[in-house]
Amino acid sequence: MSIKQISENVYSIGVLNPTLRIFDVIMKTDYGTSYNAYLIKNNGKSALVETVHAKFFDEYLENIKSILGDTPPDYLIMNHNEPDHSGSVAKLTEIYPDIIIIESKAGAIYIKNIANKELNIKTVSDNEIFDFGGGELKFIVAPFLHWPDSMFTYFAKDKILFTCDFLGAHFCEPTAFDYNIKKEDYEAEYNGAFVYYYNAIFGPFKPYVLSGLDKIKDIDFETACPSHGPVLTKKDGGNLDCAIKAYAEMSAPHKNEATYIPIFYCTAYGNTGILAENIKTGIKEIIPGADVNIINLNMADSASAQLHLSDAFLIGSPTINRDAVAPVWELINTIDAVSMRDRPCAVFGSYGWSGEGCSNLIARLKGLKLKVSENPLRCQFVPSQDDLDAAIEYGREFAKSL
Amino acid sequence: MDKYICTLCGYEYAEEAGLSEEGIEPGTKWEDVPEDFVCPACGAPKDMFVKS
Repeated sequence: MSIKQISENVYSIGVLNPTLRIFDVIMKTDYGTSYNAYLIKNNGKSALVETVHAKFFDEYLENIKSILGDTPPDYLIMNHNEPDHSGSVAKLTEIYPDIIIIESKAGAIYIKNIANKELNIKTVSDNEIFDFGGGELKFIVAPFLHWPDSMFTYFAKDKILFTCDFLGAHFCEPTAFDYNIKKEDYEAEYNGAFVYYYNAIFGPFKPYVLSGLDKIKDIDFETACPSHGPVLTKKDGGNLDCAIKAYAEMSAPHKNEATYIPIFYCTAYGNTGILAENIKTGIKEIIPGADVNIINLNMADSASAQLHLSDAFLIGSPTINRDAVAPVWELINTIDAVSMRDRPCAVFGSYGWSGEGCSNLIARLKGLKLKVSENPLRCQFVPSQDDLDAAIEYGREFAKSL
Repeated sequence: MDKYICTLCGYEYAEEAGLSEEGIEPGTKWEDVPEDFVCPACGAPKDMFVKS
């Protein structure tokens, strides 16, 4: 990307990666992404905000030099140290060995193990104000937005807040500005990318999103410079106010009206399925008001959302080839281990020969630090009346444990 | 004296030992550890610690 002037003293010096279709293994990027980075100049001082993915270092350096010429930048502010932003720190410090790297406390720990070299680091605390060419830079520590190291940087002179991944999106906007997206009729695509990004990156950290919004509510900024996607503005066609409102709405705490206990299962011959029905009977005896929703994973497409909305859950799988079956693992793969930590759960299933499905599921759920019962409900082949009675009792005991 | 564990990585802060490299004296109670303390192993903020 060629450089773009964002305000009187701030330039965009990041790079576009329009052909990227999968980010960090787990995210789809239908509209590519941009590795945003910025340069702030003030009275002869200069600060870089973030670097870029290591593969794009040359273009990034070219952008810096096109503004600063042969003058080295004084500071590098690292609001977040994930390698898409920190990947070029080691190379950058070869070119500019005297550059001072500004990090949060957690960031200082991370960058040492990312750059793997001696660095000139200055650690800043929450709300610390830093004199920058007679102007001020303020650092707002914002843990879990979206890593422990995350912080925002405020440049009061130009009313700009650098938010790193907060308010970002995987989206390529060649002009850098949000108000140009709408003119080109990509509004729906951008909005979709914005919400998808929020869900993937900030979904696990909703309480932290709310505290982050609270921290910036009294900051007078008109532009937010995130580290992916377009710069957000309050100009005509700009998206900044909408984006902040959307973050607040999407992060609002959810409380189920009734205790919500979904029972997920897969079944080949109906045996694991009938266990689910009987477990439900047992739960309802103990907690009559509970909302117990039996979900057949072979028919459901919103199982992951139901799982995350649950107060507790059960999951049933037959054993095939010494393991639980793929749709069950696919559901477990979606578990957000931060927000679901200590969520009560239990597993059950019918089997024919050896029945390792349940124990494998328990091991996995324990590894994710959910509060999983050590004792599964297992039954060999077709449930007998005794097995069905045991399933009802299993449901009662699970409900009592909540 | 109590111990507090980082729920993100498992690092343990022992009040008896303190953490001299962070300037936290031996015997410092958890509530007296500065609010901007971060886990020296993984960077997690103080609110991610629970009593072990």
